Amino acid sequence: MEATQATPVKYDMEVVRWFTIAAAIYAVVGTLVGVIIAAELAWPFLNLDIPYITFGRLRPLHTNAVIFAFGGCALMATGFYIVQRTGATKLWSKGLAWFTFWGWNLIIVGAVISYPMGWSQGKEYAELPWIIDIMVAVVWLSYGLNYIMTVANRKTSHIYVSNWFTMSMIVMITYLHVVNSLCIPVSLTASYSIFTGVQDAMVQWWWGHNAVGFYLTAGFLAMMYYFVPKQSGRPVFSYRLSVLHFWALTFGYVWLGAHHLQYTALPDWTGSLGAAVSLAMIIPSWGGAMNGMMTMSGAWDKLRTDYILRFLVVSLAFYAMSTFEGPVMSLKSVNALSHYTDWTVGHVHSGALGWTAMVAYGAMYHMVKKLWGVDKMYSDGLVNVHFWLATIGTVIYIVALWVSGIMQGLMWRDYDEYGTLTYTFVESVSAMHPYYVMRLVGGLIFNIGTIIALYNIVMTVRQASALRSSGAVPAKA
Amino acid sequence: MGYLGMDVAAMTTNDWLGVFFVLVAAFGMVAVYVMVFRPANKAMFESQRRMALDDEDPINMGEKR
Amino acid sequence: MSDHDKIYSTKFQDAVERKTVLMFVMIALAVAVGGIVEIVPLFYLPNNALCSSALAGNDPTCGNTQHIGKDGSVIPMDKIIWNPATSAHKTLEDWVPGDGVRPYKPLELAGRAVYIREGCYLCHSQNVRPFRDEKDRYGHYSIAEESVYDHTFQWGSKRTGPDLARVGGKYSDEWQRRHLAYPRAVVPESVMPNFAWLADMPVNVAETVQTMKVLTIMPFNPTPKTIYTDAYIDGAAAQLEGKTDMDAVIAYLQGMGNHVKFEEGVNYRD
Repeated sequence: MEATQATPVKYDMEVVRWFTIAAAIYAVVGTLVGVIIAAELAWPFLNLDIPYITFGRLRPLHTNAVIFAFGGCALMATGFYIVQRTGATKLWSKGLAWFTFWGWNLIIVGAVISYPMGWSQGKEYAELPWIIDIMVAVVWLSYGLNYIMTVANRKTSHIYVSNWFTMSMIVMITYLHVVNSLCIPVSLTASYSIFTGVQDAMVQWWWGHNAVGFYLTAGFLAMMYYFVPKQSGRPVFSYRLSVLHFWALTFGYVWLGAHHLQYTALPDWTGSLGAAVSLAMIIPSWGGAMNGMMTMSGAWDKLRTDYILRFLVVSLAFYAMSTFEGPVMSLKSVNALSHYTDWTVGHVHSGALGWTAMVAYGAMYHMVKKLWGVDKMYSDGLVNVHFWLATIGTVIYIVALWVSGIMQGLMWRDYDEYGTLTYTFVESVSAMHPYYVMRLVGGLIFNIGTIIALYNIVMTVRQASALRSSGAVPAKA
Repeated sequence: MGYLGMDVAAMTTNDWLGVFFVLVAAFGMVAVYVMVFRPANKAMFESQRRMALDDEDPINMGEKR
Repeated sequence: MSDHDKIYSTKFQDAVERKTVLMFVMIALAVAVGGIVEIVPLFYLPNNALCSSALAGNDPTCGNTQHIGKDGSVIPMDKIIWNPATSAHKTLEDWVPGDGVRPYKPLELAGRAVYIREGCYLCHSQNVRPFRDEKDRYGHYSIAEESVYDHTFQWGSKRTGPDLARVGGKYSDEWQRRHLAYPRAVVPESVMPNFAWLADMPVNVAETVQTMKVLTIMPFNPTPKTIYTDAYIDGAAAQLEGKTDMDAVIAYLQGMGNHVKFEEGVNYRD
């Protein structure tokens, strides 16, 4: 018997601590690999003629490290944190949570080995070999089961909005991962998708866009809906808006994948449908962003002193921006120019760096203080430095790729007065060089920010442990 | 205006199917909007908005303190 | 507020927020719709690669899908997807460009595996869009049937380098060999990594043969399930003997996009 009515709930937060630290470490590693491949694009000799580090092998490592290692650990940390605190109950199974932690990290180790070896399925953001895909499914289900059972065990009457978003992520990612990974193995490390051509393309982008829509958006909106109110001390601006945000996003986001295949051999109606629903998604997305922003009303002065809140607010600004940019790029006339260019890469990063990573860091800083029972981080100044590095790095990155992307698109379609194409392809490649360097600088700045964050978090934890073991302070009141 | 033009005569079954789904999705969204923003429903929808702030206790992990 | 003031849907939302299972079910239903609407029809509607089932002989026009050759006439379906039964060329060895899309030969299949392994799809697309500039630069737009044998499509999403959908025959084998090994020796401004080591790596024969076997049992494969005969698979190892990954990739690249004769005599811009 651990608790009576009078004492507060005893939570299972040790696993959350580990996920949080892991997320901070993987953020450094993932963005560092990004910096390396950005440098390889700017100066190709950096591939060094070593097969294991060529761009084509490291790029999946970069995308998977930031999405599944950093993003995944941040999601699982915040998910397990929020579900316990909003339900006033501990995890359904502590053992299963540890299985999730070690399993997920084992998968990451597998990915770190697989990609440099070239064991790839050739599906973007789902390159992992089939054997690791099976592990992902098992570990993901262990997370989902534990999460949903904890929701079921909650002591509160209603399920809090953050948990809706995380549940929708759990369900959708399960669908996506299982269907998109269907393949027949030819060896331990190689396999071929059971789908071909057009069907495979649609399945792949149904996965590809919803990995963004549910993993990187719904899961991170769960963070937003919990940590923005907590950090600002204000209730959600409008719960009605969040109901709308949730159901519109849950129903609508699924349709968007087809807009990645405009003007391909995919039937035309599918792309148009994808674009139409993409446009419709502006409304709930902006509603959600407004909801987060307006939660701050009456507490805006806190931005002056609360650097964690700055992360959360700026992440919402980037969320609003990229959820407007995305639908615009899905329109056929814009897509004709933007598709296949760096603009797409820039768009992804305005979402991934500006929205996903920023909101995750806001949540992580908040959690670190609560989890280790300290009043402030080791250095609030360093949080501020990290905030500015992250913001400036992201802005440099996306501006560089806006310019290069639009330039590429215009160069490819430019005709001279004799009716022939003005530029050879390689002229567009060489014109990209300065922007690739600029993008590298932006990425590097962001990467330095993540290193500072890791240092700050580790020092906070060390300080908290030292205080506790010395008994110098009566830790938490 | 050509961009928004619709050549009804040339519409295939697939095109009509697409129109149908877009319209269903659009009307569905309107219905949800009406439901959510109907003043009479406000009290119910907003009843849980403070939930995240209800739990302000420090975390008890059962550690020695 | 008394209960009767609420419209039913509001009470339903309230119930959803209170009941974990109900919420789970509602989410599971809501997220399923989009995928079903967009993906399932691709397995049934005529305007896609499934058209090749028309090869069975019932519907030579394949719904309303038509592709026009240079002389303005409709390309018959069996010239879009190669059909050994009706074609003058009965085996993969006899097949010539223009006979229609055919399964990959063993060396091409090995090259495709290298293409995937090295992540070429991350910088090169394989899908020409129906625009004037892309026609002038790359050739006729890609059609669905051209990727009918592509288990894991390789259309890509980025053109850091040019589109490769119709690169077959555009350059000589020797150019490809030099370019793959040291791209900047041929194209000084290129940012492509050197792949010189491919020439030192022998083709993975066992895996390629296994791949051919696997491709004959693909459940949704729209083409006849016997895309490779047992005898052909038995002879594959001999075709791969002594070849390197470099030979394989070049074979793959040289076979790309020239299976259907859309038009002739165009010199495309680099």
